[in-house]
Amino acid sequence: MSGANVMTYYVVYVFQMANLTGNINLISSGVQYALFIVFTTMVFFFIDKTGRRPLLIYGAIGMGICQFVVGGILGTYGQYVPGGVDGNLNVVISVTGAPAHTVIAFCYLLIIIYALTLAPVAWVYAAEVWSLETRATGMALAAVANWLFNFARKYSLSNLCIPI
Amino acid sequence: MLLYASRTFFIDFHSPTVGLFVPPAFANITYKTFIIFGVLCFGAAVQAFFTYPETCGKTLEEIEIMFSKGGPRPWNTRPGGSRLEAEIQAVINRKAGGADHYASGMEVGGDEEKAVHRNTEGPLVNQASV
Repeated sequence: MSGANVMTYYVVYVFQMANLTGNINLISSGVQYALFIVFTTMVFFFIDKTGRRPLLIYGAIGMGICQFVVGGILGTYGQYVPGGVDGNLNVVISVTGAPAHTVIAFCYLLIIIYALTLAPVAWVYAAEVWSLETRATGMALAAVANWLFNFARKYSLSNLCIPI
Repeated sequence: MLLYASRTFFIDFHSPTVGLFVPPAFANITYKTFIIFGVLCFGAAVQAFFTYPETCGKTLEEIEIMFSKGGPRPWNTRPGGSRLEAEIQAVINRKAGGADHYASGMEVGGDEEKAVHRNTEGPLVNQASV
């Protein structure tokens, strides 16, 4: 529940708030996922040197700061758009100029921090904390739960998108 | 153990409510959505500090000890420090040092060194004979 899913599944909405439209918005969102992949691979090189705890703790703090910056900028400079941006009724605030660039930059920064810390470490850690007897069952349950949640989330997301 | 492990899911394993929650949240409370998730992030950091012991560079048995009652407090745990590393190092030293080092090691080593000797001698002898 660290909000990284908001910044991946809903990054198009967030970038709409930051005054990006059409294909530029979609490409900018694609950059978000590219950053995610690239920075996840880098964890491989340092996860056994730093340990799990610092990554979990400082990663969560860094992500929290990024969330507050995005929320703060949108709250301070956001203009209310009654009909929704581009007719999207879920996006009713918009920022332009430098604040918009700040929002985009901190979206990217947030996903970089997430890819470097919580995203891979949570999987590594979940695999490590099981006792020997429960490990196989436990990891199977973890994966099943994760993808069931993902299914439910996307199912609900697709339902919500139909009226839009 | 189950309880501890299931806790770790809540960092990355979300509930379907994210899909049902975020679009209406954007529509109604707009930027405050990010404040909510920001607070959750800091909550996750606090939870990690107080309940997640360090598992880096440790054996499965040592991790199990950390999660058992009377184990070390999570914020006192550090990466590495595994008994396995010490045992591997002892074997390497013994091989490199030859018979003299081995003998002196046995004299000075005490209980732990003898335990290492017992554990490693069998497989090593087998490998040599094969």
